[in-house]
Amino acid sequence: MSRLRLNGPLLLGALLACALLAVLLMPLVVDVPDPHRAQGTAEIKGRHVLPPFPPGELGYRWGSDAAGRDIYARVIYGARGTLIIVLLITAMRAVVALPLGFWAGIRQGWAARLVSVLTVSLSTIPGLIFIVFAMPGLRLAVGARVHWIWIFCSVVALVTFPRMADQVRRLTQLAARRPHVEAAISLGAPSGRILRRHIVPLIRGDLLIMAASEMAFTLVMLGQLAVFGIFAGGSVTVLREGLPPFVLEASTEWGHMLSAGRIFIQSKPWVVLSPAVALGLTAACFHLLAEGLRLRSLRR
Amino acid sequence: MFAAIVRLWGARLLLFVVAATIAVLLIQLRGALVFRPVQSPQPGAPSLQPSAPRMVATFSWAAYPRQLQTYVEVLQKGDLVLVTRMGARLPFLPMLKEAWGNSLLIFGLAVLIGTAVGLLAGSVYAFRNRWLRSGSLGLSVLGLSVPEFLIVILGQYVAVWSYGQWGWKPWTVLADPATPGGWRLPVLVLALAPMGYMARLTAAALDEIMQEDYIRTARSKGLPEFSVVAGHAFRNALPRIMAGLPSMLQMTLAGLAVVELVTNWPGIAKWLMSETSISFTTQGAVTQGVGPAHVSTAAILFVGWFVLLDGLARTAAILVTRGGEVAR
Repeated sequence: MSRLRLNGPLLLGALLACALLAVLLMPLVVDVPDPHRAQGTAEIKGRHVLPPFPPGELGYRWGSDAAGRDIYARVIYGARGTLIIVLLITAMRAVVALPLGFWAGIRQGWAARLVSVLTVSLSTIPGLIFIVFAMPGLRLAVGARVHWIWIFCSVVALVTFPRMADQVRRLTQLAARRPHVEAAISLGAPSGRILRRHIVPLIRGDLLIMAASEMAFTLVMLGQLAVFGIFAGGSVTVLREGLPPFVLEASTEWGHMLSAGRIFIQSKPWVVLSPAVALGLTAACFHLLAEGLRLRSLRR
Repeated sequence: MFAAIVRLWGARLLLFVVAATIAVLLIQLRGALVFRPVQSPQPGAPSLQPSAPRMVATFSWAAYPRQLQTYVEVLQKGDLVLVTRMGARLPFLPMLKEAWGNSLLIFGLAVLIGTAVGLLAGSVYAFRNRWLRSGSLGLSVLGLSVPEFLIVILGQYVAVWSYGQWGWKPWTVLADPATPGGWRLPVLVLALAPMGYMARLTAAALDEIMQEDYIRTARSKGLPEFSVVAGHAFRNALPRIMAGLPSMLQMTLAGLAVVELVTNWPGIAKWLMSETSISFTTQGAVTQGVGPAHVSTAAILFVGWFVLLDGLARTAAILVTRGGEVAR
């Protein structure tokens, strides 16, 4: 227990992770309202009002969104969608960055320079700004030919992978300087074997820390992109007889909820408050896990 | 060292050209549209322009080269104008220059404040006091995790509440460069990310260095903890901290766009993030307000600004690592 107490960040991160897991499992165990059930006008204190309804009225714990859907239910169900998208982006990034970083770290020379150049080139424009430049035009150009979620995840992953590749390269280079690894290299062991038997076991703790940091970074980026109306989920256009059509977001992903509710940021802040707090707490969970793991590896 | 700096700036110039070109190519995709009439308006249908046809715009790769060519011609002439809804034609470049000045103000202040507080918070992490370490960690996690617009909403509520209670508000609800204190909220919010990043970077660097033998020697000699951290550990951690400056600047610039948008600060992000608005007249489609040309010009300025800052940060890192020896 004293060891756990000393590693406060890991303990706090683990607690938040357990809470996140509980939220993910909640719809299976507890009766959560339907996140897609909408409500139009309603009567509150003798007055007809349009959604979004404030918290505490009409049975809405955390209020409703612009379509009259329960924000509490949408945040609970949205945890799955959000984490799936974050995992997908991180995995896509890792699939490209890890092999490239390992290869550059072992080969060194021009390979390492290539990775460094890629990192520096793509970091010339901040990733967020690059994505905001690219997305509207890509949306027009690609249209409905490809599922938007794949384009969204690919662009976010590709813009930020060089940074991860550069970090992996540095870790691999450091590990390759260890005496037993140098001995293996000088004995003529193949690169794959050196990577598998010597380098990866040495740096897997650091890779885990990097994975947690990348998840946190991706979550924060999703929140920032949502402010600009860029999100992964889809939407539907609702046509009503005699009324103008309106666009309704279909998925419960937190970034999507933030984006759809951003016009209410100042007038009806509860629409964005709950998904923003959920996103922030989840990002904090991964940051704390990364910090705790870093402390743990340092003390070893 | 001089050769490294020259190579750095040569590479930065090349990167500026490449990055600005890519940004313009991506942004101009939005303007590669062809318009076709859908159906004639119904007689008696309400319309502000009864003779204007209903149009639909679709993306066309064939229109893309023409779009690029038009933009290059506009750049060459240097007469980019903004057409308002009333039909007035305003020169765009002076407006962009003023917006850039506003952005530079809050960005500069945020980086200074964030870096100073972050370095302090990170240095505190090196002391063997659990509360100081917890406070430092909490501050860094807060800066890195909490979405900016959430802090802006809370800040606005604080301002309204404080005015109601005491007749005084620490900052204005909506940011305004012309109002005294109108810059405080965007600067404070923008400073959180660099503060969190620098705190974490400094803490990580100091944490590793505090395990070194020379730190143990300094402690065993009876030096005060402050002298050990400031005189020995921090000096050796400085190269690693300086190496993180470009990432910190990148993170802050990304946050600048979000903060300007949410606080309504009239900076460069307003032009970068604007959507094209197109209206239809009897003469055809007319771009009113912000078009791809305006966004592209703002993007070129933004990329140039970032490349300059990045180059300065990396030059400072080179000077710190090569100019000063690691003291033990």
